[in-house]
Amino acid sequence: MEEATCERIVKKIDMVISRDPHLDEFDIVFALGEVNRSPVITLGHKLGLESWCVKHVYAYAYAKILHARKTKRHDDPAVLFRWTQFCLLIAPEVATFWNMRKMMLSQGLLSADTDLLLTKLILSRKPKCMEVFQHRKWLYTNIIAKALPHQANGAPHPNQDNQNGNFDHLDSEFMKEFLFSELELCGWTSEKHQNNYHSWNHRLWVLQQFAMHGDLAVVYRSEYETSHCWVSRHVSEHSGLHYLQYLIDSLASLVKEGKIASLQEVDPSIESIEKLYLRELEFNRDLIEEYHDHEALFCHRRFLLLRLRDLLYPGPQRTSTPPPPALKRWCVETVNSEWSAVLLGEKALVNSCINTNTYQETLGEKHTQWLNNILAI
Amino acid sequence: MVKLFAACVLHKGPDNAKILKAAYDLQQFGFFQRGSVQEFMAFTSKIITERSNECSRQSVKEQDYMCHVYVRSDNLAGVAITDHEYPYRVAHNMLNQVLDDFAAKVPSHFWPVTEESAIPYTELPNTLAKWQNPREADSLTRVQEEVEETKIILHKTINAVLERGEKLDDLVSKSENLSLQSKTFYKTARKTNSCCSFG
Amino acid sequence: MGSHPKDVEITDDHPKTLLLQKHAEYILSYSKKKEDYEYTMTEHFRMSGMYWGITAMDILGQLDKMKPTDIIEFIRQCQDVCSGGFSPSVGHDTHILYTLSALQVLVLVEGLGEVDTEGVVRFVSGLQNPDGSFSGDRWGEVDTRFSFCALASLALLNRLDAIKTDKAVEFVMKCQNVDGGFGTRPGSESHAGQIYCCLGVLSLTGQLHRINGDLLGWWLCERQLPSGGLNGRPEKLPDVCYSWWVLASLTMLGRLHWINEYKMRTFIMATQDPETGGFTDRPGDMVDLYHTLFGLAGLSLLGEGGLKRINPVLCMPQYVVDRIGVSVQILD
Repeated sequence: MEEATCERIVKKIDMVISRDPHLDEFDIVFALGEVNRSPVITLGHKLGLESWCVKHVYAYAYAKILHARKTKRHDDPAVLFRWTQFCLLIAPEVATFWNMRKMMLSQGLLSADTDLLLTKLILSRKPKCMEVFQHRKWLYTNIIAKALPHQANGAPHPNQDNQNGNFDHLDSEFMKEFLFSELELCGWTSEKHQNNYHSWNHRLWVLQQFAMHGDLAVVYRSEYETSHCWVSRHVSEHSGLHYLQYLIDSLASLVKEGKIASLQEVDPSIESIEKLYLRELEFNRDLIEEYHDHEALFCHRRFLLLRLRDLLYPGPQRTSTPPPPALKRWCVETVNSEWSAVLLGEKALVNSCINTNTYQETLGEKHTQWLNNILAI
Repeated sequence: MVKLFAACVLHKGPDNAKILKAAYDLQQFGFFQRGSVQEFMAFTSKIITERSNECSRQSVKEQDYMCHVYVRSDNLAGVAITDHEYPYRVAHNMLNQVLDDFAAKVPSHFWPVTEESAIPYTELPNTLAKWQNPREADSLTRVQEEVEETKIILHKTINAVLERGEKLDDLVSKSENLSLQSKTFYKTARKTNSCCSFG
Repeated sequence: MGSHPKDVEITDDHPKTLLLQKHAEYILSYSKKKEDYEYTMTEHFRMSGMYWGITAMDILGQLDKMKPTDIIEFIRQCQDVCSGGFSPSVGHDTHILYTLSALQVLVLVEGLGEVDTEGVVRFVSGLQNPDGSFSGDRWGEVDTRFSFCALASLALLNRLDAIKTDKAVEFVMKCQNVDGGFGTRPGSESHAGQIYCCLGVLSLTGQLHRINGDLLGWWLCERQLPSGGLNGRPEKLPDVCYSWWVLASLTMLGRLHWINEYKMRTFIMATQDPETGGFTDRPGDMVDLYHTLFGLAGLSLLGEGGLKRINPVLCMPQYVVDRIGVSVQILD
């Protein structure tokens, strides 16, 4: 293929992307080459590129970028934007090209919106691409958060612990809106690729960013509800369950630290931290009974049991100072009985797995072994 | 994901199976891939029905998907395509309900001779939507006769239900119902699992 | 008993013995084709590709087929004079991932003297953050993989003194989860690859005693599926690269015997491609260098005859690690 043809295709892609900020999908579409037809397809807000031209155009743009880097001639940044844009649409794993865009973003030659759109398009095709999530995180930390007036005047870096409301109200609203849309994006990528480690990791990071913008109860309430919905529709995905674990744990600490006034702000029916974990144990049992054969659900259960043991049955090796005698007796009588109830529940659950003649039976056996060996009961 | 992708009603004739009505929910697939995915689901529904005996229930795993098939004694057949999380007992309950409903609304003399577009049956999209939540849909039908789990035969791959000497790869490349685009999609989807860094 | 819903089947058609010579041929032919699209598409991790290929050749006992002068010249060109780090290929940016790969290859072919090792120490120590974590490059992404790369790089240069190892360990321990495993950052999900990296850091700093070996060993063993293959997280498909990440981790914890070694070996053997040579992630897929090294390395840990012994922490032949006098901690 001639260089001029390649360049024309790269330009066409750039034109489509820059004209439609609502594009939401990109894909390579299988097609045999045809003369006199553009390989760039647009249908609504979807952008497709026919497969026959990909190798040629990629090789062209790739060589052009490397040549420009070697000769250090970067006369026209627009040219480098579209070459890196094209290559990253095809191969978003190439960190060097993202770095070039980071450089241009830092110099103000490229707008953050451009890369928010580009990264979204790439995620529609490669929803678990780690480099793309990294780029969005970098964009947020170094460009978007810094663009706020307070940040430009030497206010603390958003990555540092900063819960004192250094953002003024408007900035904070803007950031929250951005972060909520980022949570939505994670929901979208987690749906597109199962057990999407990087997508869930990104969501975790987004959740951590909210710490700087107050109103934690609002985001925790919504995440608590969303996560429960999500895990009951994706019962084999440990990544979603892990996120829920993180959410519950951090919710418990936020309440202890007084950053969220009470658990009831998140869910009116939860009056204590113990109840938070016990409710989760119940929710998990329902899923295990409804959806057989899922190891992920049992893993989640183990997490809950370890937490509950520490809460309900803090044995001598786990408390630093022994409780006074009166309290001790109270512990033995009441706290232990709650823990015993939990253990009885485990026995019943394991029994329900036996004779199912499916993988559920194996999972039940493994659970028993784990209870005996790790939980040491 | 607990997901129901397709519900299909077929007629199993002496030589081949014919789709009478089908409904799909392919939102989670890429826009440009949906056409091929749908072609494949129709293709799979047909070949699996053709290779199932009358009065049999089977659930067949193929990569990330499960195909559930039920052929009645009157040669009316149903196929449900779900992900691997969707409980197969529930999928078979749905097939029971769908086939009963279809047979009640479309007389049996239509089955061998009528084109899909001419079949007067419009319930499938609703059924597909309703059964997306297995818990709710299943509880609505619990009062009716339930499919016994032990009656469902499980297979680990489609190749297990094919006849001796048949291979899915060959059936795909020989098929006249699949476009070149879909055949290529099938080939690449199978081979691109490689990673160069964990994750 | 029902079968595992997410596993693969090993049949009689799959290879059962090690196709040693086939693998050597595959690696040699891979290093020779330089013109095609695939070669361009893999350039951004070429340095690691080189490490996978050369290490595999050494384990196979065929290092003599590689040309050290060409290799060293390529690596020299990839060192950035200014930062001291290595890029994956000429014209790309430096990163700690490729810095470790470059050092591993240089140690293997005895070419360390040909590069600026002080520059490397400067590069690696400059990436440590105040909390002890490491960034992968100047753009700041943090990951426990990078902690391992930093520690392993400096261990190979015998310069662990150049960083705050206690802080590095402290950060890694913050990434441990209730299940005993480790993730990329504090709070991240446990992942067998990250566990290997974190145990590697603890082993290189002699801190493995901080680990509850029973709890973590339990989690690691449950990665084994009925086919014998290992996955990296619950309910994922088995992949031959985990036969390295998990087996090496269990070896460091002194619990390799907790898995079924016979079945493991059967699975790894089945991932060989008898026609092209090389290993795949799962039986029937396409081979690549990455899975070829980790398939061989896993077999080496299991004591496969005809393969050189491998070091479970550095993933380099043990004789090479002995030659430079680096020792790692392994629990009894």
